[in-house]
Amino acid sequence: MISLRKIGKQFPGVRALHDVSLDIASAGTGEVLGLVGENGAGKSTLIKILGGIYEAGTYRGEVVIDGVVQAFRSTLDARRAGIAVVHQELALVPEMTIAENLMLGREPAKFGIVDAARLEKTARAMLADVLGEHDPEVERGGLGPTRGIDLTTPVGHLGVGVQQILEIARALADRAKVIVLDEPTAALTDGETAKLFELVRARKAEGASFIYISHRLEEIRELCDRVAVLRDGELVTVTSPDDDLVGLMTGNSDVERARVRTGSVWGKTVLSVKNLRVAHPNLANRAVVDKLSFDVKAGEVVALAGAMGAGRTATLSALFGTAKAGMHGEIRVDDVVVKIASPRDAIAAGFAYVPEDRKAMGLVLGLSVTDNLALSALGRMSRLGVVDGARVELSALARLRELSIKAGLDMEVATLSGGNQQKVVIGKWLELAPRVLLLDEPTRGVDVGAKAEIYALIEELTSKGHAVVLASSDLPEVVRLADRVIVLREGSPVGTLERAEITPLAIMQLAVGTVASIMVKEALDETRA
Amino acid sequence: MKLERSATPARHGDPSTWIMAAVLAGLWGVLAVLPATRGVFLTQNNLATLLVQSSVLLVISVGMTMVILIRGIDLSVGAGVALTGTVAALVQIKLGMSAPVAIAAGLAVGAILGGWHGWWASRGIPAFVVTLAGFKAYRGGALVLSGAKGLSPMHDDFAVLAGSIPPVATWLVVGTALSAGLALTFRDAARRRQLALAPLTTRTVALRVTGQVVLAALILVVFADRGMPVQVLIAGAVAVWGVFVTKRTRFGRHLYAIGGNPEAARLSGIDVKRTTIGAFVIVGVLTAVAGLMLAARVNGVTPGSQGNLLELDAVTAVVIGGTALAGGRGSVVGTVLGTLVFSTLSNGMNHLHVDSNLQLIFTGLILLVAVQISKGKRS
Repeated sequence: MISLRKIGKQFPGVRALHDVSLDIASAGTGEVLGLVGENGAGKSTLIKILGGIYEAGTYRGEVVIDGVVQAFRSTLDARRAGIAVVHQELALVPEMTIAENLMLGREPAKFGIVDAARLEKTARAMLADVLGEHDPEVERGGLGPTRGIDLTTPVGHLGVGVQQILEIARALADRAKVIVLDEPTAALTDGETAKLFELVRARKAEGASFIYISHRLEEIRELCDRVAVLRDGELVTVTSPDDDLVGLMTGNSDVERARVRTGSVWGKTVLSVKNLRVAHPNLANRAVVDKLSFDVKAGEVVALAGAMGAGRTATLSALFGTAKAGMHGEIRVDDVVVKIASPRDAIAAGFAYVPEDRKAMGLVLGLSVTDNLALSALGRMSRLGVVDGARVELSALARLRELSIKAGLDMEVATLSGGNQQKVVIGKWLELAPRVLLLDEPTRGVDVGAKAEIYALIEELTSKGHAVVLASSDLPEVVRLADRVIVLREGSPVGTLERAEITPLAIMQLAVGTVASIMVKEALDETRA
Repeated sequence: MKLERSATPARHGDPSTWIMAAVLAGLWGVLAVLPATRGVFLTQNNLATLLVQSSVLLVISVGMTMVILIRGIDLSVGAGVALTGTVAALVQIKLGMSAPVAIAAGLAVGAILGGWHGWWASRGIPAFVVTLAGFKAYRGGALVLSGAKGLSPMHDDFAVLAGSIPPVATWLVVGTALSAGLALTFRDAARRRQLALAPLTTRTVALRVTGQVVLAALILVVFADRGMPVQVLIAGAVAVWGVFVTKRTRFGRHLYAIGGNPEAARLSGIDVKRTTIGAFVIVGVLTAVAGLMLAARVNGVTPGSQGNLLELDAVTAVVIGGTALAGGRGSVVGTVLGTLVFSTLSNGMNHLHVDSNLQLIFTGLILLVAVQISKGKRS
């Protein structure tokens, strides 16, 4: 039994946690405990205490494992005590290989000299054990991207989804008593998520327990045995996953649920893409996107769906001029052919881009909210190169209100919640009044409330005549927002779904292909039963 | 349209700037009362000497701040000082040209060197390597051009750079600068009213006005009766220009964005290459300015040693001033204070008769302490 007793944590001016007590079974029978709450509710703080990131003595209360009070001074202490944490932010070294990352900190070595061959062999065994790759039945279920991968590939060359799987594999291999998964599916496709759930259930049957943190309540309902709800640093309740979690999290049971998009007035075609081909960044003669054509009208949201690596992000980044190995195809904005070789060209043509990784690509974390909101439009707010500070502030204030960004102008963007950061990334484009918004995973890692606000914002923008191209692995999100869905598989379109046809199952069927889709359907039916 | 007041406190600069200002004031206080300095530290004479001695380093440090802000560095400035000085000296001594021609030639060389660094750096070659190459090459260039011989003396017209402006002109310059500073403060206030923004707080206005007045008064106390040295005038102008560029121009704001996150900057439509080249051209030109100032001050050039270690002194001053070597954080105001702290320490240690070799050790330790202070403050 692992018990948290009356845990409290104070930051300057903020009470992050107050009197939180929780028990997690850790011997004999495993369990999956869901941990939910809006951003800032204290979930991260709690697991940082459990995982040894906040040292003993910097918080109140006790962490007790099997009756013994623990005083973790480091993450290593926590790991020795049987607690493994998979953080939302990836903790892999991009320049090192898959094998090296899996074996980080436990490299087989003699006299300090690493035995590379043994390292790779052990890593492969570890991966196979965790993922059950040897089992053909499991192989079909998903996690395709890790199959047949060369373990000497640097991790940085892999997609975020695969990296996430590696990190989870590393934690599972530790044979920890309690494994904390913080938003593990944020970067995973539905197939990969299903596979992850399978792994979690298998480990649970072997006696391991999980603390599962997710904004996706459907996952909580599917996977968890119990759910702990945090609000403003306090434990609201520990309840059944079928309870009204949104109500408990927000403290308001009348919270607006998914609202279906009402038909907007569609204008003329804003963006027209013909025969787009995006070359593979490393392999000659290969393409990550091929034969892709689509139109987006004013006020329309066209979603690109598909498995991880199907070409969603590649399409958006190519349209924004960042395709490393070049692209072909005709791109028209407002019926004018545009040539896009750089982000500056794309911006001049009327594109705005909200990248999937906001911290690495969307924000300058060390700068203020105002400075970030002014990033792309500073030229418009200067005269002879001299910035009109008052205008910059005026425009930033307008953004704060339009997007209800809960932050002060001078706050460092790094200190904002995920939802508010994402709104800043969207907000920095609005001064330019872009024609086409390219949104890549616009609600990844943001809480329920902010998600609803971002959806409302996207709808407001389309109602003003902006065209939106959305890439998302979150199927409910695609269903909620899209007027049309183009499903990609291995870089090429395999089908288009119009408004009434858009369902998660229809998208999945197209995305994974017909044979597999039968399996997916069965899996979906099973979970419903 | 009614806009609510911004709920956030107004900015009063980076806290490390205030700490550095306090450190500088503290140092001056201590040096003034220490018996070993025999009360000469806070005299007009000594402060004038201190400021003249800081001038060359300050000019270079302002440029260094800009390249460090974008995660770069310029290790070639010391050698650049020798090369640009040599070029100017040759134009005067060998070609018999006037000072303006010599100065123009020096500046042009500086701009070209900077452009060269920027061109490579903007193509992804680490600035450390590019300018390390310059560190070697320009020293060699200076030696080759001069035939490895000292060049001296400069013509009389060049000595303007080492002279002083008359007291009347000093009053005029300081007065103009002060009026411009005050005008800018009130223009800011007016512009905010015009756009219906929350007005500048009385505290902000008072701080800015007091700061400017105190600074002007200090300068006048030191230089009003003897006239301001041209070296100090140039350094002061470069510093004011540097503060303005980094704080208030698009180029300057882009430096912070690129240093903070180059990928996000590029994806926001910022021309990262051009801005990078711009920053290196600036440090190149300022290197030339410093090279000309130094050539005037010592009335000639010793190509083998002129400007030795200046690159490291400049990095030290910038880092003491709170600018992060990792880029994206820092300020020219901090650099000015860092330079003054650095110069004060060597000036003070001279008064205390500290052995010059020991001074090196202390300077090294102080650098570490300064970095620790600015790091500790951030977390």
